Amino acid sequence: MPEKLIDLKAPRSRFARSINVERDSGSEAIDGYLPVGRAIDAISRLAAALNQKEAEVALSITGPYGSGKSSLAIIIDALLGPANDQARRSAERLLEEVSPEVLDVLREARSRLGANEAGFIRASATASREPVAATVLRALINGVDRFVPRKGQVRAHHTALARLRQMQSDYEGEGRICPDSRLIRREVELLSSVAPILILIDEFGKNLEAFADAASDADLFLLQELAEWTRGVDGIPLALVTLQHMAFDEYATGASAPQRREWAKIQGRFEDIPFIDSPAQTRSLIAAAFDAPDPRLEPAIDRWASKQTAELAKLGSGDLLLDKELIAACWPLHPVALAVLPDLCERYGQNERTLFSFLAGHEPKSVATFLSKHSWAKTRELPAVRLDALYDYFVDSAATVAAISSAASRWVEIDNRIRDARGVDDAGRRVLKTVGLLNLISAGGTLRASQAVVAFAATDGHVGTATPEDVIEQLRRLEDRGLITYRDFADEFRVWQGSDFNLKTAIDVSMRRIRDVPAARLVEAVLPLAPVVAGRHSHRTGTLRVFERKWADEDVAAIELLGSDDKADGLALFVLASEVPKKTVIRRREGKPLAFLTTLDPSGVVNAAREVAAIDDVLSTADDLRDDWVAYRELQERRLEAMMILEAEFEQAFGTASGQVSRWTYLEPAETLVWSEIAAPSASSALSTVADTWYSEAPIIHNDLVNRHELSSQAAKARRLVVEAMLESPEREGLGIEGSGPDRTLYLSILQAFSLHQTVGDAWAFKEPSKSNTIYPAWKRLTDELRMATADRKRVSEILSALAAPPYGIRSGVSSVLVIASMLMYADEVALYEHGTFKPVLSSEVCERLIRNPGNFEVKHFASRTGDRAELLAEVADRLNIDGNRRIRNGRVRSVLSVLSHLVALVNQLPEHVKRTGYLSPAAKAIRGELLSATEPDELFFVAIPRALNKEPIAVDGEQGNEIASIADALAEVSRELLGAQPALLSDIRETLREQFRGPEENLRENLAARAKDIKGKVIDPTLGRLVVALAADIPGEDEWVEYVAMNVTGTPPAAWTDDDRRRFFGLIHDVGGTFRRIEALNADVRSRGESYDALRVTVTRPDGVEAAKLVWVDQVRRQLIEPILLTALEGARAHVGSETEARDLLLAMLAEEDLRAEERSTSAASDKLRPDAIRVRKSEDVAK
Amino acid sequence: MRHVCGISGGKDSSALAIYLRDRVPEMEYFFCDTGAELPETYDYLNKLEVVLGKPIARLNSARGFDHWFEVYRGTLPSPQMRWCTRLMKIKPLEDWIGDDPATSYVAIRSDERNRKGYVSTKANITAVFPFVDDDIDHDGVLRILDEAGVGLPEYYEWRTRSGCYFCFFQRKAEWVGLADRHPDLFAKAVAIEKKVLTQAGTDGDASYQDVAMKGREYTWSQGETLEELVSRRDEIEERHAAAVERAKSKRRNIPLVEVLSSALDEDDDSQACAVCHL
Repeated sequence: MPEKLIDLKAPRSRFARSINVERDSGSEAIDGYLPVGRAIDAISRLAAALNQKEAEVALSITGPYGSGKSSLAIIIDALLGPANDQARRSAERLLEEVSPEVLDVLREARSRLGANEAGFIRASATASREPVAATVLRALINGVDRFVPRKGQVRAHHTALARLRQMQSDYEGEGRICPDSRLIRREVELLSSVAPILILIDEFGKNLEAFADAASDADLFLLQELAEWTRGVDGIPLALVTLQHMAFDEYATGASAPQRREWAKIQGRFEDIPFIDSPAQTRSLIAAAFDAPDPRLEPAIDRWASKQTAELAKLGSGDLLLDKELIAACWPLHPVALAVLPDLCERYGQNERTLFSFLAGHEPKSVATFLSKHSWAKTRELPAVRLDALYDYFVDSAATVAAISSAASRWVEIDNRIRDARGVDDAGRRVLKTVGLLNLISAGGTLRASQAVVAFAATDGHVGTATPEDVIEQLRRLEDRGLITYRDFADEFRVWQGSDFNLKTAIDVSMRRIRDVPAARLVEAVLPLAPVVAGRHSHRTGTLRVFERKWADEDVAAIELLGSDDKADGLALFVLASEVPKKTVIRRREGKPLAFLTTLDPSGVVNAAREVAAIDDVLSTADDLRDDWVAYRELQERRLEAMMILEAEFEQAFGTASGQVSRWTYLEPAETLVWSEIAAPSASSALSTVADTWYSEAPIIHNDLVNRHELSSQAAKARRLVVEAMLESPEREGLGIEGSGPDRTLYLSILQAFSLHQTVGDAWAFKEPSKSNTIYPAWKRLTDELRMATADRKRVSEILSALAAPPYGIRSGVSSVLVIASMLMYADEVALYEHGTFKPVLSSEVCERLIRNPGNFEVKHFASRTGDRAELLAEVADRLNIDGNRRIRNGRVRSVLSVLSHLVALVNQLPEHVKRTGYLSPAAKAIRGELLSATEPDELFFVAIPRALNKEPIAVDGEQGNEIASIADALAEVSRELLGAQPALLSDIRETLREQFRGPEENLRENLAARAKDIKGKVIDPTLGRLVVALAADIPGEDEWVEYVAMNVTGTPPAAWTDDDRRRFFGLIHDVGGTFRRIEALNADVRSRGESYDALRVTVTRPDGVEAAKLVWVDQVRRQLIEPILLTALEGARAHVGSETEARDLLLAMLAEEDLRAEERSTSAASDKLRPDAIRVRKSEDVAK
Repeated sequence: MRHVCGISGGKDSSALAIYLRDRVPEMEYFFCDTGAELPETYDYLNKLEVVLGKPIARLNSARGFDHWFEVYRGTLPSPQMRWCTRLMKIKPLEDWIGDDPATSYVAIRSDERNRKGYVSTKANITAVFPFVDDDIDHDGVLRILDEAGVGLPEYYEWRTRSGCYFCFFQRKAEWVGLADRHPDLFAKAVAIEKKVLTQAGTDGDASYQDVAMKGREYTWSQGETLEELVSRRDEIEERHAAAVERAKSKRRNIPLVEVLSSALDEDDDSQACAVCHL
């Protein structure tokens, strides 16, 4: 039977498990330890420091996980032990073997300090997350306990131990009294007189983390002080050694900058020893890890090594520092495998620990397994462990380790690619793994996946990779399939494309960054809770009651109840504590319900949330992550997993089945803070109970369409139609809404269900609901709000929010309809204002805006049902023929509004001219002014109008009797005057036209039109031209004709005249009339010839030079009548003056003089019309109506 | 069959109304009131009513611009979102006509027969174009108005189009004109541009600056706020004067109304509103 290789050359068995300095001290732990270069270095520096009088003996050893720090701790501990200690002997033997000179220095130091026999008090401990003082205390107990005192010191030793134990039990006991730094210092001082002390703290980083959390400065100063003691002439015999993974200040990422500087300063007290081996050191270690081979094998190994060395030389790998001896010593590791191994261990494993388990472990792909699987055949070349085997080992046994390693993302990508490579045979896969592993190391230089290196590394004599040519062929095929790419510039093949993002570090950093974020904020960020519906309550009342869910801490600053601005109906706080933070609750007006869910142990949720938050933090802050999809995906997956954990934790602590550990507590709606608890299985059920208590007066509404905060467009349309029907046909059954559309449904579910619309006598009308109706409490609140608004107006939005608040909780979709119903019901007592402007009529467009912007509307209530006020209303209504029993639009009966709207309408329908003219009585002008400018109806009617009529205002509860009637009379008179003003103006215009144009009383229009036609086309004056056209125009209606004519004189229709226009008209018409008549006269000259009567033109030149021309018609009949008078007058005149000619001239002149006087009289009559006070106010009963 | 003739307050539709007065005795005249017309327009309508001898039906007066401004919470109309025309002109007309068969008389002139006036898409409304059919052009329109004694609306002194005082189709020179002739209306247009209600009453702020189109800067006139526009009024006036000169020099003895119109057209070539500006 062939011999197994393992029998010829085997790796030494090494410890491949983690070490604990407290647990594992002793010779067994040391036996088999291989002191690596850096360990020797550390021991040497410790020994040197101990030997020097004035050197500080404070070392901080910093190195990565698994680099053997803990083993070093044990060696140091052993080396400073008593002479009779087995462990010390083992350690010394070990050290002697590797570095006898270091041992010499150490021995000298021990002797110098008088500790050669009894050794040091070896206060060694592994730190956990605790104060330094606690760790040091534990270490001291460990040290004192193990120390065997000399005679004479027994007592001191004993009492010291007792004191230390007392301190420890104080610390570990109920009170958790942290050891006092000063006391510890004193103990150290006292003990140092017994023996030199070694304080050795492994995993010191944990102390630093605890310190970063708690930030008790005193703690770290203990350390600083101890470090200081170790130096100087009077320094006490003390050596201080700490071991940790990172530099001190790197543990303080969450701390402030000054704090970090402080830490760096403290580390400055220590001599820092980096605990890292160079690859060369590690390779020596590997060589030393094998036992010497069986002599029979040596020639074969030698041959093999020679060949490899030659191959390496071809590659030009001088930088790898691999000599033949080393290669031989490290067989069966292939030289390339040997070259990458240190790096691989450092980056993807736990350094030595991984290295040793790879060499000596019993995993399927370890070197030991390899050696025991293969047998020796003298004739064949020695087999070797190659990169593909390395790859397999690290995938198989180190995959989980890889996940936390800094280069995990690269690892994951390469692993995924190789795993997913389909249709690749074993040979191809071996080559692929070779490339992959070289990529993983990616050290550059010779050690890269170049064709030559891969060929050298992968050529193993097996099928497919038997020769370098075979390997190159494999590379070509892999490249063809896109599994690897050749990167020209770097001369290497790659299966990996991503970046070097360091996930582990990034998450650690984020973890520390978010350390101080309050738990609630953290959980809120990663697990925001969706609102939850109070199911039972919602189902019962028909209103979907929703509670917002938020996270809270026990020490939350303040919790304010939700208010009317919030959409949710209440707040359910999930408290990350077992107690309700009751004291921080702030009540408010119209506040909404508040409930808490507490749980016995929230830490599961908080920790899981921290994990998720840290990942989120990395995802959102790490810039280089964007280019690295592998790391990104990895993070996503981790997040998913962390989320699942969080959700599970949530279910456990707060979920439906958490009844055993969680508890609901809620605030009672009372004014004071009264709390109740609910034993309810689910949030929905518990919150239903809360909603029932708080929304006790919620009406029952069965209409999902409008029972909402915001309506769909369909529901909004239905509501608009219903509101319009409410305004248009309140007297009809069902408001006249037919069919079964959403408007009908809305009517049924609100107006009918709340019996707001009922039969009253024969017709239907809006009516208050009965007390038994579920709407009653809310309705009462609504009407109370209206009634309270007597002194000041009340904003409609405030009324809506009062109805929306507990205990009613009515949605605006419904409450807006209620408000409009109430406005209709109390139309005679409630006034509505928009932007402060009174709205006399509740029209559909006003409602549209009211619903849309209730904040722009206000209401006011005026008491006007009794006393003088009521009487005045009745009297005025009577005088103005406002039928008190008539239901006018929108239900307004005899009331301030109905009377006022009559008056306002009266003023509004007046032509513009009457609205602004001064040609009115003082009373009419005053009343008109008030009606046009008033903003408050009650103010206007009861105060301003009486004042305008020189009467006292009507007080709310006045009893004046007589004055009331006279006010009403005066108001009626004014109303008649205003209505009659425009007809009176038109009548004046007509009369003036008649006078100026010398027209007849009857058929004036026909007369003037006929005359205008006669002279049409002969007019040059533009004003007269327009007038002539107007006079002849075919305008239907006499008044309209008058208006048209007047418009053509002034350019503006009389209805729109200003008083200036009015004066201008009467001035102009006089002039234009004269011109008209002159033209008419001139015209007649021409026409007179050939007629049966004579037309004479008489022109008189007045003293001012103006000629007055007129046409005198002389027909036969009048000629015969007038002729004798003329002859008699001529004869009489001649008797006085002698000459007939002179007599004729005198008569003519004096007649002309008479004519001129008559003209003047007529002119002054025309100007009389221009004086406003000359205008008599006409009584015309018929137009007053 | 109903016969309807819309009057916008502009010269063409007014002339058409007068033109048809004796030809279509059963004509119903209407005017879609936006509540934001120029005072000159209301004056002119008064005159027209006298000339036409019958009232002009005012449609829509309850739901004018102010109403929609509130309902839309400050979302202003714009050439892209012309809710003003739809809600204040077209819909009221269609509501008014209802489902009666109707002939609508549209005042497109014979010299602009390619222009698209508003023609309702409702099947029961038939549009006719009497000016196009009877070959009445710009001069014809002026003659009709002159003979009827109404003349041109007074705003023609500074603006060639009817419509709202803040109409976004206004030319820059017209805005300056508004600022001169009606400083109060100009101030209101500025307020609307800022989505501020000037009639918010004594009790508070009822602006919609934080509601509609929050953060979106909309200006009535392209590219600048009214305040910016009016601050460079000299420049605008100068340009306008130059444009008037140019327009004048092209022909002789042209009525001012035309000169003004082509000078303003030079200002920009944005399409006018086919509904409001007839």
